Amino acid sequence: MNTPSKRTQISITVNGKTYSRDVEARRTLADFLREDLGLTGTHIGCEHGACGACTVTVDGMLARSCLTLASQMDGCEIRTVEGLSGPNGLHPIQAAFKEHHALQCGYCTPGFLVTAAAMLEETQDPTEGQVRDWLSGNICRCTGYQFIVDAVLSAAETMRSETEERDAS
Amino acid sequence: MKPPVFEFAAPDSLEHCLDLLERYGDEAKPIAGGQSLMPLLNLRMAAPAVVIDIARVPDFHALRIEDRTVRVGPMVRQRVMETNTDLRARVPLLAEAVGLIGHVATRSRGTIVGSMCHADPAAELPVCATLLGAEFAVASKGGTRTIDADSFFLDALMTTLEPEEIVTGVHLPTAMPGVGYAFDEVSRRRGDFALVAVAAAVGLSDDGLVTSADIAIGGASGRPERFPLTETALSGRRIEEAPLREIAREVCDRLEPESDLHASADYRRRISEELMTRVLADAASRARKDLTREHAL
Amino acid sequence: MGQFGKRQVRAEDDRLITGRGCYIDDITLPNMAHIVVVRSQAAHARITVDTSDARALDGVIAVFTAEDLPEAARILPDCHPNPALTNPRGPSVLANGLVRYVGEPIAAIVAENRYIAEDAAELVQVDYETEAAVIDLEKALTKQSARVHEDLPSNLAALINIATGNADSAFAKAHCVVKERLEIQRGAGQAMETRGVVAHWNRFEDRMVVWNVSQVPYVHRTAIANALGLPERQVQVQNPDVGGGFGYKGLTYTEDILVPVVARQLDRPVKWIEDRREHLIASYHERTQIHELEMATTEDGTILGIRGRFYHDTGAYTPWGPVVPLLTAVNIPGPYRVPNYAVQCDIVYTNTTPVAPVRGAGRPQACYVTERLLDRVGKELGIDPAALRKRNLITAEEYPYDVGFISRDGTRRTYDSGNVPALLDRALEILDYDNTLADCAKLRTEGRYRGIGIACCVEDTGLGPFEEVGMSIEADGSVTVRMGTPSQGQGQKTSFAQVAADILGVPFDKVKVLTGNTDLVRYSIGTFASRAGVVTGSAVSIAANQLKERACAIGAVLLQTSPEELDLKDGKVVLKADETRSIDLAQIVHTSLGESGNPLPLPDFGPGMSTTASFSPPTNTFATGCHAALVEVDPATCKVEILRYIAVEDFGNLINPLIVDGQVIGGVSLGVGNTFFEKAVYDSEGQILTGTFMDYLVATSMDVPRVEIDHLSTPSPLNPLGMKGAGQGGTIPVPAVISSAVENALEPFGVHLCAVPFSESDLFQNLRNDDSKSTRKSA
Ligand code: FES
Ligand code: FES
Repeated sequence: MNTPSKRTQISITVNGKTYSRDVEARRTLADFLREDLGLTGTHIGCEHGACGACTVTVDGMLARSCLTLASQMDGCEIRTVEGLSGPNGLHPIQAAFKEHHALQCGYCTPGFLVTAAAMLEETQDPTEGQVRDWLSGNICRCTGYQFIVDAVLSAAETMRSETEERDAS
Repeated sequence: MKPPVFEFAAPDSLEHCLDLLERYGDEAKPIAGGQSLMPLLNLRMAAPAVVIDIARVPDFHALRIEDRTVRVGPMVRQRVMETNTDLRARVPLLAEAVGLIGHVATRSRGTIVGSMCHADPAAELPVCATLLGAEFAVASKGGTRTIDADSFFLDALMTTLEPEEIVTGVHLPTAMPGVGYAFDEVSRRRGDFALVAVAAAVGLSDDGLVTSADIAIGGASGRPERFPLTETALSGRRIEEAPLREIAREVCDRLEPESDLHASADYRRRISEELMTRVLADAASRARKDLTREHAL
Repeated sequence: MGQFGKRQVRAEDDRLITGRGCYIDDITLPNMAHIVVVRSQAAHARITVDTSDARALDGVIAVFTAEDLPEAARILPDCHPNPALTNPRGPSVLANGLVRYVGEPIAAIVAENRYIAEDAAELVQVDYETEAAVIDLEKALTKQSARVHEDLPSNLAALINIATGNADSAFAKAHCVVKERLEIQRGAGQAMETRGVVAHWNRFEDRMVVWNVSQVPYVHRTAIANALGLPERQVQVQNPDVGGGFGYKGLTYTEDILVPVVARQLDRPVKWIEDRREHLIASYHERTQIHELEMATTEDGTILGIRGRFYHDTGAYTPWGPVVPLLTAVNIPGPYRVPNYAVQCDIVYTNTTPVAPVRGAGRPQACYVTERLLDRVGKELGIDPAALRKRNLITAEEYPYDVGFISRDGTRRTYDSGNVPALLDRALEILDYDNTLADCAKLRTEGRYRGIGIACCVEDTGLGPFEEVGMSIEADGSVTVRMGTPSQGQGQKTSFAQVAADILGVPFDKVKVLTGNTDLVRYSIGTFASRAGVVTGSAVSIAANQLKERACAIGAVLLQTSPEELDLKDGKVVLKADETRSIDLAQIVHTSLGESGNPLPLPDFGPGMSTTASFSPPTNTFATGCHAALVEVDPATCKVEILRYIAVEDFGNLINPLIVDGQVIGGVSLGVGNTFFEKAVYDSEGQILTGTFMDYLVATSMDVPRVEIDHLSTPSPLNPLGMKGAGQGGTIPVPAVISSAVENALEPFGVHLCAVPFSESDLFQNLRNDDSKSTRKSA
């Protein structure tokens, strides 16, 4: 893409599936996921990077999909909330969110889930302080965060014991 | 809040990148991590004709850790400062500051050079660059040049970079033996731009006397300001005997911060003083630890 | 089965945690067009609008200004008329020649997508002939002030007077009088989901179908029907998943009318999604009030009276009448004995975004002023804050307690039940008050500044007039509940299933609650003012009991016994004496319906197991609470850390304590924002400076402390389940509690807090001007 153009041709892998699309250069990744791919689990809360509702991972790293152009994503691998649960059912963080009442309206929830899942991949035994720090870029207006923090800590524990079990067997 | 119409290019080499910059000049806006540019686009506070994605230039991803210098390419993400232990050890000041920039998600996309080029006066990285005397390697069709941090930052959101130029890397001096570094800030909430951010480097002699001291302050004026303190009453003293508070006050009395929604000018000035006192003491104590370690080796 | 009172995990969650929720912006219809609203950039101006460039842009379908709207769709209806509001002024749907606040809707662009619509919005040329803007609440009432509404003699929208006893004579004999000027600044609800509307004309049913994020869909049904000149049956309003409500989504905004009108005119599905900037600027705000109040006490701190005046900034219009300041005026006495009370409120127009209730709705202000005054009295008389409060709290024996004046709902304000002294005792116990006080004193000698704050509050909840519920037992024995109060995240589908499950003796997951569709029941008021749990919940219990009675009656015939011998259990009608003798509910339904072509087998009970019921509370029920906090302040940076936060609540009987705890903690988080961060700021020209989440700050996971919750319950006598509302209690006392704690921590510096929110910078300034602003009289 050495020549500027108002449209770009992109090929993006989302939750393991590859999509090739022609998009307007200015289209945000959030709109691409939601409108072009129908993956409406990714939510839009502010469109200026300040709420975290639109958080996804790009090549394994957290990203605000409202602060990312779809055009920049050619060849990238994206994971959204829809990609968290696998063939074996819910991701431990999802189950913990339900168990701990970590959501009310659920609008912020996808962003929190994706953020927490990324964190748990990196840090298996986080402290409450670390969890709060990781989540500090995600705004929730309903829950006051406490049950979200509890859910993340509990999911971490579940994942640790799962790993132990796996290692033992 | 959707970006205005623009054309997009993703050059695959420095050559092509410079061609585009030459051709479009200030009509063009390079995008690296996009964490500063995208909000402006979405809010329609920026309307470039062309957005140049520099991520496809392979060299731009380079991070070279050398003996005296760390060379950071313009696509190196801020998050690397958190995860690369070697890098953290080489530039401990940035290692300390990086966790205060935005949030993990923004640091995972945002680049070190990008934040510096955005030149927000309250951003953490420009303060670090200023304190360390970082150098910016700059290229354009016309050639290359190097700009030191002092002359790079001009004013709020303004650098001396020409429209057809691009930063191809920032060179950060690595930590020097016997020198301690510290960074601290006050912000409204975790991850917000600092109300005031202060970075310090203090060098100690083998017997623990201050041999050099520098401070950089962000958020108190249009650009980060550096204050060399080697010539002050600090020099030649043990840090705990130095009149830190007075020195800090003298520096901060010279600041002319502005009041805004988040804090008064007065608060910014006085907090600079407080932070300065704290970081000088922290930096010195780290320098001392460094020396003890060296001696132990 | 014991569902009532169980910490049941929610029925709502499975969809929402897997990204399969359906929020307003997730709705897509074929051939759907997108609307962007062009908003005023001036606070007060005559305008002329030229839309020709916008219309000419490729992809633009239409542009609407005021004159393009049908006559009936030009003025927003007054959803909450109230006679106390003597000079009401409602907004136009689109401004007609004059704008009165920044953000007021002027025109609507309809385009093929949102990107194009925003491009076109930039091409609309609005000429502003600016007029003087009224921004400062106090100056607005001066003679020289410009007027927001030219046709009114002043900027006064109404005066409210609430009084009991004889305040002046009480003050005359008081031992101690404290006086304060207390200010609460403008905040906003800022749900994570902004507002949005999708509308289309359903050709098959020949009617308008609207999806929106309303807390009051039935109010919207009426408003839309009127605007379109249709009978209400030709309008259906639906709520998909809604990302938070918090009060200000409970009234009719421009787009609620505009979008269906456009869809009707263009005969095309239309979507409008508000962006965050619009939401910050133009979705209604709350909280600006300045209070000049006095409290008089005896020597031992017994309150003799409160008197004074406060000013309420209602913004440019009065879309929700006088309800917010009225709630402040009636809530100032709180849970305390205040025998003499005289408070006047001036409701004042300014050229700012109009006011609607935001979680707490006037009560955080009331609690703040009363508790601040009590702190002053405590200091003045050297009485411990906890002891002072206890001395003045209404005791358990005094309930029902007649406060002495007419309340917001027109009835005599009477607290139905409560025991706030017990809440206070419990809070102190959790805090380990005496030891914590001693710790604070000790740490202070080491240069660390910790302080304690305590506040108590009441909240009028569960207000009328009614809610209606439909309920059926389905052919498979499962239960369907239909109701009118929509959810914005409160978990009604779980709580009400618990209520019905218990009464009908079916497992929780056999009850499905439907809401968010005006076709489900005929009438409803809406979800706000902590009322759905109490009012709809009561209606659910009544409907379930009706079905239970009918099931037992039919069962009695089939089991050849009397209904009194029967009970519902495990999805069956069972004989109490011998539970092996039973009939499945499915069988009961089957029997009640009979066979096709034949007469009903049991004609006495009518066909089917379906019923409707409604509940009308005689008046509000009053929830109460006591919160306490321990904070530490760094006097150098003025950063405040909340070390402990305790909330002891009395919400009567709890359907689902897990959900209630979530409400409390969420409420506290807004309160923390109201204390430190949330502030919508205008400059002197009326430009709003807080148009992003970088300027309008809300509390994050780093700012909201862990909340230690306990519940003590005095069931309400006013509804069948003894419930009280729990939606706002978490928010109300927070600014009072934290202010008190911070002031206590910084006592050696003489800090005197009289405004929220306060930033570290504000606190720093306060610390430097430590001269006390209060005027005191001590006999
Ligand atoms: S929508 Fe992307 S951060 Fe808020
Ligand atoms: S659950 Fe509603 S915003 Fe988080």
